[in-house]
Amino acid sequence: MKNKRVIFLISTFSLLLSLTSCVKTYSNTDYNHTSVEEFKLNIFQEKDFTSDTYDTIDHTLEEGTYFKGVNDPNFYEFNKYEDLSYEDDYYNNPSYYGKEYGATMKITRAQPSFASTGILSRLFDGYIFCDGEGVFRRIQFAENGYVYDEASNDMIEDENLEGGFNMKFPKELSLSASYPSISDSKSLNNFFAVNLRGATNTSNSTVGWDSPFVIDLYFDLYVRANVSSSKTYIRHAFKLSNLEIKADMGDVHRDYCFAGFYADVALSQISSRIVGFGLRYDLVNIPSAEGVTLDTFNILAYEVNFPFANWY
Amino acid sequence: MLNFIKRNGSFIGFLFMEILALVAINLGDFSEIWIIMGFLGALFLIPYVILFEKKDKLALLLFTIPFILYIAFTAFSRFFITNSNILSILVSFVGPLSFIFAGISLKQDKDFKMETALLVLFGALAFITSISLIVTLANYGPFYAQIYAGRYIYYDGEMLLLSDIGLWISQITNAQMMSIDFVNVYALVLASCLPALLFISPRKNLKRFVLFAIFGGLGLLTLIFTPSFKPLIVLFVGLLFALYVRFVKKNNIGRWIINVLAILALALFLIVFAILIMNAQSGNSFESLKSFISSNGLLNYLFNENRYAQNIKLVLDFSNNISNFNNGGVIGFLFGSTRTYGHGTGSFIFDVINEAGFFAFISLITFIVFAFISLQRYLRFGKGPMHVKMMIVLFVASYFVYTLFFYQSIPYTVEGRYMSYSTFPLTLVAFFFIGYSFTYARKAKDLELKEATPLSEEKVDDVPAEEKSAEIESSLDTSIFDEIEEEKHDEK
Repeated sequence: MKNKRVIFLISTFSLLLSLTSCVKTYSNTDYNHTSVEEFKLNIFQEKDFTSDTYDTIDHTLEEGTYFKGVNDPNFYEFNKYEDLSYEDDYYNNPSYYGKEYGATMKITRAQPSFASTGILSRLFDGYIFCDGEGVFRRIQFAENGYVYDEASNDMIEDENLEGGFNMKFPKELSLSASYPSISDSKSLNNFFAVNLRGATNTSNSTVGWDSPFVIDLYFDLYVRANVSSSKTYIRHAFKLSNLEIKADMGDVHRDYCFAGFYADVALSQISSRIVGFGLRYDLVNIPSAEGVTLDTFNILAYEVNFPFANWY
Repeated sequence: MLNFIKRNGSFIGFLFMEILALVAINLGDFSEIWIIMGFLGALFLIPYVILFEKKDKLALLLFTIPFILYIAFTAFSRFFITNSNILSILVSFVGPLSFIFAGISLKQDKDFKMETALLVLFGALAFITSISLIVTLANYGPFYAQIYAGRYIYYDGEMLLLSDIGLWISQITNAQMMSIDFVNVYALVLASCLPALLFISPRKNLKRFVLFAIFGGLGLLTLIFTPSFKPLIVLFVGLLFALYVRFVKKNNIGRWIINVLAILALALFLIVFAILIMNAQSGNSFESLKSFISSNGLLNYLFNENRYAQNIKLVLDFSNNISNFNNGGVIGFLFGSTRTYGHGTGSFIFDVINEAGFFAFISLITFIVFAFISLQRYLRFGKGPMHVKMMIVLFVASYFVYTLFFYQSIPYTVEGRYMSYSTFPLTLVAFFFIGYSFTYARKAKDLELKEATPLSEEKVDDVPAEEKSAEIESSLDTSIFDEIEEEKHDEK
């Protein structure tokens, strides 16, 4: 009897100890949008490439290898996703898996570790639209980088700094050796894509909605420079030219810009594992109207999708 | 039957110790499986019914009627029938019944050592609490709830107040973000064994003393490192109670004071409860009450949609407002709502009203009052070492008191899964303890007659605990086994 109890106690102890090895660490971001001081106090720093060195290889995508929105014929031609509803946004309710686009395609379904990526986890949670929740759903980024100015105690834009953002994946993405043909239902998620809209400040905000902004979007994929490297990387910058982005007024789901490029294009350029990604853009055209000047423009990103792949 | 019990009694007791530990820590987050195991374990205990005395059976029946009513109203409430599947409903019906039955039955088994069961239980709780503490500290650092008060983190796109969450590892694959009240209540019941150390002599029983001190200490560390002040206050009250029992001689005046305080507390509770219910109703029916409350700063702070009353109001307004027939109305109020508001009321009492209705609430309150009377008798006249009795009493009391004010029915911050109070892991353990400690008036009087000096008056160091328990067992009651054996022998 005594032995049994000892065995039970020991087995319980070792089982519980073994659990510790499974525990994943969280790297969350504490990010207050309102105060620069709060931003400086950031306690759970996100993992990104700002302190690393990398060379950039540019890949300007040809027409047909990427899509500029759900209305783009290239999008329908390559993807049989009509079965999924892009219009609604039921995010992470399991009963909508296989029905709603956001719920079905979100990365955290396949890789729960993406939920622990701090504020950027908003890009992986299945919310593909704003739906009135505004700042709580989006990642906002500008064309240029910002630097903290002590004199004004504020962040000021610096044209010499690169804008956008990047992040390291919690796991490494390995593209499949080949991707199925277009007709295969698995081609559903064979793209790198992001759902975007714009934001601008104007006295007449219908201008930004009636005539869209035009940008060149860079979808950056980071790989290691060599196998043993942990601080040097290569950045593959996939340029999606002339995306039309509507800004401010309205929240019509079809008017968001769901832009992306296909995995086989990335596969032809990248042979090693992808360890991170980033988004940035160049502003190509600013809409104007009589008496209206749009002097600020930011991108609001809601959801990012990665292709069907192996994660390590 | 008796042979079955004699042959397998120790094994069944051992089995239930394991089940109790597994249910308590809800390992792997498979609560329904552990509850079903508890039910299967309780089936083995059915033969123990023959060990009950006839008079005991009647008292037991009266004692458990409100409990059975509460469980029946809860399990078969509109809320569960609408939101659960048949398996969950059955589990939430047989689960609590199994655990209280197991407690009552195992008390009859002289092979079942409650102290060992407590060691296993607190050991399991200590492991899961301490590992969760390590994970939490590794991620957020010590005293995070205080240092980062008002700061947010993000998980799966959600913005979460850091001081409201703690990491917990019941699910094997990864640490889960839980409501801090969930972590607190585990740490609190674990630390509640510390005041009972006053009744163990470290000179005589060093091993036991150290083990309980380590287990309880880990709970206390969790509360300190978070830091959580609310459970520490409850723990402090528990300590005062233990000090009172240990050092203050029981006399009529002391008992008087305790009784008067208890009655006052009950009256105050009933008044506050009535005001909360009325206050939580929307519409014009109680406007004069609301305006009266708003004229007083302190009352206004507690009621009128401020602070404590706010969550209760939100939930009751949504689900079963008496005047709101669209959302359940009177039927909803009496028999439970069909849905939940999306977050709990913060108090198990109001959660019970929401999910099972007013009748379930009345049954539960009656049962809890019965339980506390029984616990008080158990503490004074019950069999077994004083520290074991004190641990059981403090476990149950601190659990009920804390969850009265800070129960989270949706403890999974991210998942938003609902956990009914009736099948919450620690509630089941508390039911087991209540069943085990069941002592009714006549029994208590009998024991009082047999025992010249109540146990609580004895000085611990005078008699070693083991000797004392043996002495007590021999003096208080001849084993029921022996009595039955004797009866059978006489019949022959």
